[in-house]
Amino acid sequence: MHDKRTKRMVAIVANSDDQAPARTEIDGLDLATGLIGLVVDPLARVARPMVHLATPLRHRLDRVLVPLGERGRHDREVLVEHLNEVADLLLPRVVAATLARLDLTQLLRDNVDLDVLATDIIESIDLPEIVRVSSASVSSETVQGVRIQAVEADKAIARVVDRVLLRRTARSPSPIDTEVDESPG
Amino acid sequence: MTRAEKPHLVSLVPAVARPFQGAPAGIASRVAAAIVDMILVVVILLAGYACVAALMFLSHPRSFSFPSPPASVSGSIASFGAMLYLSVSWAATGRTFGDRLLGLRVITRAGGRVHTIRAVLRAMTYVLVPVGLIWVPISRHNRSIQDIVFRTSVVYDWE
Repeated sequence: MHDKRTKRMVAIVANSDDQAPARTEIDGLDLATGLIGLVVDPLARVARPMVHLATPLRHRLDRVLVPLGERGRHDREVLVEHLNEVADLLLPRVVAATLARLDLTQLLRDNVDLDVLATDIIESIDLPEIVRVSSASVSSETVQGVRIQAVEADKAIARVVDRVLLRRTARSPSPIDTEVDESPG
Repeated sequence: MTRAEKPHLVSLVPAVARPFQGAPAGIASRVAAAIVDMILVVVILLAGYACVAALMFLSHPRSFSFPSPPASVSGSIASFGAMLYLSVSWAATGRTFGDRLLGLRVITRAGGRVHTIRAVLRAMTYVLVPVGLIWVPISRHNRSIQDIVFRTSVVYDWE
């Protein structure tokens, strides 16, 4: 059933191809563009005279509005300047008067958890490291380098021995053990 | 205990050493520390020898000749010097000069300092049988034979 229909369609397409003189491919996007043009063109044709009519009106409005805007901007700048002068004059006095009436230390003590704050600060800045780095001499840096190399050598040797002894579990990270077993395996 | 109540302890260990601080030290560090200690003991003994020679020279300048004790005597003196140095260091501070340089410390299994008698016995065995260190890479806890016998450990301690 399907085969017959398919054959018929192939035949129709083949015939139409033979008869059509060099038919070009039609893209969906092209089709959509054509449709949009079909709609927009008449609209544009109608709108164009209206725009031409509105242009002189716009120029006339500009002549009124632009000076008005410039004057407004000037007024705003002057106002801001005056306000700044007033703020410079008043704010320091207001703040000073407010601070004179407040016990800031007491306020901090009552409302801020200073212990937590101090601990957080100390933890975040790593004070001992800063002290150490700032006071470290060349010799102590050399010693640190030697120690690091020794630790790396320790690890390398332990790895090799563990591999030779076919150990699967890691070595104990703590010297304090509960095991009695000191067997190599 | 809240976080605010917890006492804030500041670690003196450099950040780079914190991952292995307190972990058992390996053979390379320990041998390096032992070599440093050995050199130091030799220097001290040579200084002692020079002092003795100088005293002999001052007392009998004409008949002076460098003292040449028999090998058994010089060996005994060297062993005794090394033993004294190691035991005093371990009992006093838990670390010799070599240990300090390599960032090591000798502790008991409980984590405390080694007492005098144990330190002396440990030092004796280290001087007489230094090959006990060979067990360090084999042991799961990086312990030498002396560590197993005297229930001690050598840990990284960079403080």
